[in-house]
Amino acid sequence: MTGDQTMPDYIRGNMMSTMLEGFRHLRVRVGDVNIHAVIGGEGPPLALLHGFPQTWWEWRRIMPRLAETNTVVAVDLRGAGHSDCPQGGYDKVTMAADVHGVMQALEFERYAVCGHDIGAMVALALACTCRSAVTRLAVLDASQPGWSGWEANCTKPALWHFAFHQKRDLPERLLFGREYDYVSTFISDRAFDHGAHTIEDMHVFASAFAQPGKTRSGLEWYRAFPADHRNAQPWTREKLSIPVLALGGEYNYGSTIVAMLEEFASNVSGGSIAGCGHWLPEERPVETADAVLKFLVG
Amino acid sequence: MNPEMVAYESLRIGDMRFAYHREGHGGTPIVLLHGWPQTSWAWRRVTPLLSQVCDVVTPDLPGFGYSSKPEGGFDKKTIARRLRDFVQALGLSRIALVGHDLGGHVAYAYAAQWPREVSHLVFIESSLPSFGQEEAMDVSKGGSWHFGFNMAGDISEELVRGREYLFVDHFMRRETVGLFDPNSVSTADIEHYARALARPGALRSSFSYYRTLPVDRGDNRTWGQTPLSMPVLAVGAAWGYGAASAQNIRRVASDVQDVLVDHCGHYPAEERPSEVATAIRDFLAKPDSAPAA
Repeated sequence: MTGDQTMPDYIRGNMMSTMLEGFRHLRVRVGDVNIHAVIGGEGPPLALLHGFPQTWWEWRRIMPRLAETNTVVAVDLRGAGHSDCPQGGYDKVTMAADVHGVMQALEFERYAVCGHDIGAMVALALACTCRSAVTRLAVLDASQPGWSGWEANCTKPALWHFAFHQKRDLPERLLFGREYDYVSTFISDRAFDHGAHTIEDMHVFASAFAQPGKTRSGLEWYRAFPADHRNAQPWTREKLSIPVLALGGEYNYGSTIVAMLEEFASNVSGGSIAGCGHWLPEERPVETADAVLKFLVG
Repeated sequence: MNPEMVAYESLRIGDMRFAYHREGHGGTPIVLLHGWPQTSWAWRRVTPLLSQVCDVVTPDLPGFGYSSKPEGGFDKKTIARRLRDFVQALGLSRIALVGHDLGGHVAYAYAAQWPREVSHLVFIESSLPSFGQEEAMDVSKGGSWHFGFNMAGDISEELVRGREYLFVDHFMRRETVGLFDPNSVSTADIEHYARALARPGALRSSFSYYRTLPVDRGDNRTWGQTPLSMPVLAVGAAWGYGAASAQNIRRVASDVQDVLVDHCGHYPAEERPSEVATAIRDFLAKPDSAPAA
């Protein structure tokens, strides 16, 4: 028996697990930060922005389908996956500039963007700060800094992690070595369909979160919320005119996300994805891809 | 003998073992309730200053220190009932009751349910659910992150397990609502609390005091309709909750005097023991307003 055979399948499989057939991995330098991007497919460009505590891998189930008619660019945000995790720059405007830099480097002048969770905040910031570049915006199950309900929302018991992540230094110490427990609990607690994440998927996200610097930088996304909230205020006074799709999981934000986005945009469609918690592209990949594809050609 | 050495006694009441320290038999009976995440050790410096004139009892609250870690019943109404059983088992019927921090929540629940059995209430660096504590919990207005964290569920225990020293040290020495002088409590003292929190069931119990706050809010709203009539002393600390302790208790009590301790953080019994003891002794000298009937 070799050493490899004694390894559980989910660990042995891990080596191959974060590769998708037909997609290639790039490292794009934007300013002084390296951003990891996974690209594939043909057609108009579409940027996919993941959330916490995840990486580009959250899109794995819908990327092949989206790539049939789009050039899909799934990035690891600043601070996640294989992207760099510098000391600062975790406000959503700076993170949006990273994404824009990647798309420019790939010579996509104009592109659509779809973001989930923290990635949805980055996607909105991108649409509002690079108005001539972003053609369409899709946001999946997230609250938005700048939204009139933001402050009240932050105090909801279910969002206790907002305050925990914003606490400086201590969370890093408490999470160290317990990344799998935290990440898997975080995901499970917010899922409706517990078949959506395999143990292997949990390990992919947990190992990424456990990489040196990545726990800190994932928390920095939250520590930038006060700056994000300030930066986003003016956007509600100059609404986006591009088409916006807002989808919420039935058991999380649901259709309330539509009214939230209407504070930032004049042309919003969307609603609730049934039988779904917070993890739309993983829990309801078919319905999510259908809605996004219909929106992109509509 | 180390002057800070504390001897514990034990009393078993039903399914609960109470660990407590008692000294100064014969004077005014006074029961002091520690806060979170501490134990009766928090009173080690105040007890000798009160025991000259009082019968001082400092229990470890249910779930803390050497006391039992019950399965449930962490709402303050139930904790106060368990505590009253304990007080009666000691042969005491009418007591002066002192509560710090979460111990103040318990002291209020006790005084509100059995007002005739509490001659004086001392409310130290504490708040009251439904009567002002919500402001300390509102993170959008500078409230502390730990309310949500402590109430989150099993993940809280999982993250703190084995890191109890880091956790207690953080709270006692944090920049806001921590100690004024970070060295007024020694590393050995913090280790004492951390070891207590590391006992099986202790983290679960200690977080359960937070997870029951929604129940406490309802109970407090009911009790709050009848203001406490016994004399109340509110002790605030300039580097702790400041005037908030007095503001909270005034909303549910009619006879409140207050004192603000300077150069002191959230732990006055450890940082300014002589000021605290003096304030309590002066307060107890006030005539007991026991109802005639």
